Amino acid sequence: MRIDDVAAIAGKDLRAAWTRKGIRYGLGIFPLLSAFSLPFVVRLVIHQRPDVAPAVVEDLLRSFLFFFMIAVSSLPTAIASYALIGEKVERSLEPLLATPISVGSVLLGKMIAAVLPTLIAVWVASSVFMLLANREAASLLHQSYFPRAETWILLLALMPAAALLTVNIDILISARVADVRSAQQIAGLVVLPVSGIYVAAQLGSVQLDSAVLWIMTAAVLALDAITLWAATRVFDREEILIRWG
Amino acid sequence: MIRAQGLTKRYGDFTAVDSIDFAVRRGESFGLLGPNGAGKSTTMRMIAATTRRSSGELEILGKDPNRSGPEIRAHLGVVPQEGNLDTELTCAENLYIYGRYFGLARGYLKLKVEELLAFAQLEEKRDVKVDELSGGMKRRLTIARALVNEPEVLLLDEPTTGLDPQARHILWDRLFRLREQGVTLVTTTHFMDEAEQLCERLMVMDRGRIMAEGSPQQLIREHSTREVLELRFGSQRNAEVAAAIADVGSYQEALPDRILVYAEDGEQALREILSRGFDPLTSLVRRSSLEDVFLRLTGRTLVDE
Repeated sequence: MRIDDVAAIAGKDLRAAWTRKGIRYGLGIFPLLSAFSLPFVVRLVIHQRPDVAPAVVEDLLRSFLFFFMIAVSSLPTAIASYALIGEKVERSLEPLLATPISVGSVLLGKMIAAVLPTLIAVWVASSVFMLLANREAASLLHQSYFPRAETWILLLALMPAAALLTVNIDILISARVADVRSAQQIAGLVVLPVSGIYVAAQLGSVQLDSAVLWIMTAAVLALDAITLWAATRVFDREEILIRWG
Repeated sequence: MIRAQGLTKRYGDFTAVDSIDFAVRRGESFGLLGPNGAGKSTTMRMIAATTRRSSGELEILGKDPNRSGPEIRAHLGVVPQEGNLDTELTCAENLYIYGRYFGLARGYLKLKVEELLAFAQLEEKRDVKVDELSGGMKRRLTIARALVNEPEVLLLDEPTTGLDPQARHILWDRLFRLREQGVTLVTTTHFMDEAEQLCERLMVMDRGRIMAEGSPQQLIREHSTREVLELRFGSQRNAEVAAAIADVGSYQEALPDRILVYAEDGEQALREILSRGFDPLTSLVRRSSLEDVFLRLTGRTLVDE
């Protein structure tokens, strides 16, 4: 596997993705809307309930930051589905596979192209959220709440692992599905468990502390390993040329 | 350059290519002729080192594609059957990015892209997205893309399918130029005129097997007569008349819409038929073509699949 090959594929997919309005808006709107609206909710809670306990607001802030996991679990699908199924439909994988480039490089390039813009968008948006949320909560907490240990675990470990899982699932789906919309709908199901955890956190059933986040990261990494193994099986040169066609 | 012996490809119980032997010399223009499903594209994929053979031997540029796929692919240019350019990208971007997949340096590619755009007569479309090109332009760009790595062998799968006559002739002209430059061309086609135009040597395939091999002229000489008389008596009468004139010429083929009488002298055969009191609705004497060879070898036309 050559770094140059991976960079060429990732670069091409990123360039192609950037030409699609849907992907540009998806990467911008959802994370930024969350970045500005969630601190506003914090503001409403503090202003409308002057007796609210600091611990309640802290729980709220923690779960709101986790809300960005929904974006991480859904946004890579938009790019990956075009990079895989879009190319499958247009048969543009065929000339790529006729080059000396290894299938591993193709796979890694496409993963990077789907994961990297998502993580950048979410990291930027969550940074904006943390800055604004710190400002809104300062009157009650008397200190900046973010960043904390669990912030780094979430942003630098769990989010990349979750984004990778989404892409692996996209690759597995792309071997079976013939159109981009169907793939996006099926891959959209990945959001369900993440949303479930978010709701559970809001209801106080799950504490999103460092220990829980590490356990989640370990679980997602294990799923990453399994799905990556399966994805490399599906993404075989001959399989793609003969059966994906 | 390319050598196959007992080359076979099976998909489960289905044998797509059935123990074929052939060889292609350096600088030669070699064609695989046959209807859809003949095994041409599968053979092409094995030569392109993208599909593994089930059995037999295959050597491309002195290497075994099962073991040296990437090394072989680095020296091949592939023009697939279907248009599969990146539609979101411009003509120049398509060429540049494809070149990057071969590990070619950016500086080299900048010059190469301009050279290939000129070869494909697409300089004015340099920054136009592929979506906006005509079918012929897309095909020329696909061929230009396949040349980005200066391949020793260019594999063309049905290069002119779907193109109008003018676009086909422009494309043939580009391929002639490549031949003159010494590029080995391997072409699959089900167009006999294309096979005659492009290929010095042909391999006629049907149902995964080789039916005949040789130059277009040689195949016609060996498997057909010099001339063919085409007669139309109306679909109701063709079969009846065919039986009555079975002894005219060397042999006949009774198709649903016409009777083909194979003879060294078509005019003489027509006079003989007219003298027997048969009056065709239309008659035409023409030279034998590869279509006739294929019909003779398989009992089917190239386009009736």
